[in-house]
Amino acid sequence: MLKKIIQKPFISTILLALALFLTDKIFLIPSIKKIVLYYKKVEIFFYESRFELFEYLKTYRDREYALILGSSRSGMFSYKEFQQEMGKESYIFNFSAPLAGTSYYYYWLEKIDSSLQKKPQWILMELDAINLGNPSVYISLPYSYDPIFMLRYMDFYRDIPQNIPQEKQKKYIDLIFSSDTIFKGFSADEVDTYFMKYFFIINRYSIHPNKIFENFKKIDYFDETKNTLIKIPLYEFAHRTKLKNLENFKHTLGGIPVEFYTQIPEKDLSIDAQRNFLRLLPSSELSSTQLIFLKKILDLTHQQNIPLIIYKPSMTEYANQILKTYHLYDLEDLIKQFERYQNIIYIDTTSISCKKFSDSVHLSPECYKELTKFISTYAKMKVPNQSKTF
Amino acid sequence: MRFITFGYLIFFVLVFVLYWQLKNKHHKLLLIAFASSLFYASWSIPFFIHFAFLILLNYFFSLRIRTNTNYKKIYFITIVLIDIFNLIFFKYFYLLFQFLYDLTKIELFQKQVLNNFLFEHFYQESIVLPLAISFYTFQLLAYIIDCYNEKIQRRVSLLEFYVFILFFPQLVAGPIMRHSDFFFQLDSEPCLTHEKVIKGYFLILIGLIKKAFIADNLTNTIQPVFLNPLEYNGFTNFLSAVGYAVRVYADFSGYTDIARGSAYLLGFHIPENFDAPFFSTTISEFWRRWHVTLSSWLRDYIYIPLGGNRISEFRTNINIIITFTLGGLWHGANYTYIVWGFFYGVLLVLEKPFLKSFQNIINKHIFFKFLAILYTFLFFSIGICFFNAPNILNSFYMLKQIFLGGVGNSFHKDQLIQILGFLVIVFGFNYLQYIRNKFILNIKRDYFILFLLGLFVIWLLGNYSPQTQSFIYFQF
Repeated sequence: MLKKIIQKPFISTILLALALFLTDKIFLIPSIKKIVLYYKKVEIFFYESRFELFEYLKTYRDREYALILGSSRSGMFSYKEFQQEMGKESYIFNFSAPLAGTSYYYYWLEKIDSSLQKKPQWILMELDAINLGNPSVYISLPYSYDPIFMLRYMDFYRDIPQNIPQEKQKKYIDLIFSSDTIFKGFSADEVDTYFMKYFFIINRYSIHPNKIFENFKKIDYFDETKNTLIKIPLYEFAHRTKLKNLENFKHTLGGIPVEFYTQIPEKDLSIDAQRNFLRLLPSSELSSTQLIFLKKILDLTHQQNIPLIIYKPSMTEYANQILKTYHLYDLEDLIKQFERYQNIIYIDTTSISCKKFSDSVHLSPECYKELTKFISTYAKMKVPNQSKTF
Repeated sequence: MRFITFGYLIFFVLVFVLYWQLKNKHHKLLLIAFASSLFYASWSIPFFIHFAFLILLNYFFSLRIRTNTNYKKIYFITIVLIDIFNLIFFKYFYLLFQFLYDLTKIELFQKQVLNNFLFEHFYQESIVLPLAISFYTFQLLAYIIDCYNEKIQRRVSLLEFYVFILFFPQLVAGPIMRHSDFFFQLDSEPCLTHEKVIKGYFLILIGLIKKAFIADNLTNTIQPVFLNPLEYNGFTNFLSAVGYAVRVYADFSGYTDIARGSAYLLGFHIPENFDAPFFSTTISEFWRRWHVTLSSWLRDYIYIPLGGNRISEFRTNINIIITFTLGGLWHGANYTYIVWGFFYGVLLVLEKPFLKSFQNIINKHIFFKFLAILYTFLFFSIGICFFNAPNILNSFYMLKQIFLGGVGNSFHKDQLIQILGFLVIVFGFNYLQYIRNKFILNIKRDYFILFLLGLFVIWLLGNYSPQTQSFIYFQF
């Protein structure tokens, strides 16, 4: 009887599709996922671990907290240094993730707002053209957001281009930032990509045999529990590093450890800038999605009267030069829009004296103390004084 | 809605499941009509309304043509003019303006001036070309002409006609169906067989490989050369033309495969558009194997009405050139397409006197056949310099670089391997089309192969598919 049913063409069509769909899901089994995820792909960890950071933040619901939203360039902020400089003792959770942009910021802002029911004391947000480019949307799609959020913020018909060319940016910025704007957020293509990656695991993680083989290469690892040097495969090393970093969240509140940043020799910074921009912002086009979400962030923080400190990060002269050739260095038309919001302070941090860089777009860790001080000096003007809460 | 999207996957699964749950043939057709409407409207609701209105209008006129013998000709001319005007307005508006500008040098006729006006006042970047307009116009015209010539005996209901024009698998980029390809299938109860399932799955999976793996990956490699041909040396320009020949085949044939595969899973058969074109030994054979439904449309509705080959040789040659030039113009509103079509028209005329002796030599030895295949492919690739260049000047720059051995940058090793590798794979796909009738169905084996192929495709797309580009033929 069962054999007869299976042999019906309609049933066999469905069964074949199901078999393919379910086989792909094998890669979700934790023990298999651990082996097949390429050990070098740290962005997966930093995006996915933000959900655990969020759970951790929820345990702080009775205390004062602040948020840092940015790309890996904001990952190196130390919350303790901020506490010191700002003279407040709120817990500063750092939700920064590699190449993140405003859609990602808004996702966490809204999620935190709706589940904690308590507004943050202040928010520090990184913003320049890199956070507003198309790559910053696409990098976050496989590892962040949730289906309801994507569907809620989908513009099924959007009559503005997904990528806005430089010469038309003023016009579109005015349109997006107008008070009666109708745009919801993501384009239909972006939502489609999200669901493709959400439902197809091989597509989400780009699982490749070569990378799996590479994962099995062994390295020396100092096992602290046994106090001895052992040989472990790279996938195991990556897994242990992840666990260690998750544990570290209790001390860093989401900050990205310094060892994840590579140090590029100064002589190579020019080439690094050219190479980096091919990935980070390959053209002078800005993503309409990111601009729409930026507007949403401004509106949300404005409605709730949350001080929003927007800072423009410092980069190497080579990187600045590329932005200048794109006419995206100053973002004047965009910055003008901030004037309507009283809760915002915009800080250009490119004038800080520390000019050491890890690579073309990342400041060196040793500059963060000065950067924190610089931002705090201005931010204090907007953030009201409060008594210590812990 | 594009084929290689999650949206289409969900859409198709829903349609498939619902469709085969319906017991009534009429209900099945209603579902297809609704799904097809949704498919088109997901791109633009106003243009869907425009399209649906056009279908109704054509149906009304077709009834008049078939029943009212007194005013048959008037009805016929009216509806043909309406269809052609609709195509010209949306598709050739800019070309007309360009032509007027070239003639008068009045700035008002410049495309940019018009676009700036649209953008400043309506936030519109340009006049939008309705999706699939060239395809559905030709399909509508073929039906109307066949009605006029009394070639359609069957009574066709509005619902049947609506589905015939709007059938979603073939809606966006063909194949351009004729009444004889479709309506007879509506006479019997649709049924799903293992053969259709296996063919459907196989075509969809192969189509995905062609489109998402080959065509999309080639885009970034070759497009910069077409934009700046003088920056690259002659060999690189030539390789780009070859690369585009590979790409356009993979793209369009990939689309057709997915379209045919989707149709098979709904129990329909829609005609093949590619019959191993890269195995053609002459240019005329190539055009019988490449975009078959367009070539046969041009033959039946332009070349033969012009007199075909029943007139003097000179007139026949002129007709060939006119037909191919119009075929070129059908592809796009740019001088490059006109020259492209004209180029093949002239080639066919030049080749015609030698065809018989050609065939005799080719049949003598496989080596000659190989040379003939090479000759055809090379001429197709040369034509690409017109087909894909953004303007006519760039086409000539490319040809100059190729034939005068221009100097400049060249592809690096990886890009070279990519183009040549894809060329080999694409010839493999042509071979599959060449021997397609030799496959013998073996249900258990075929389902197992499909399962493995499916896993391979999921893996391939997950790792090697860049952000999917629009199908090339969607712009036509």
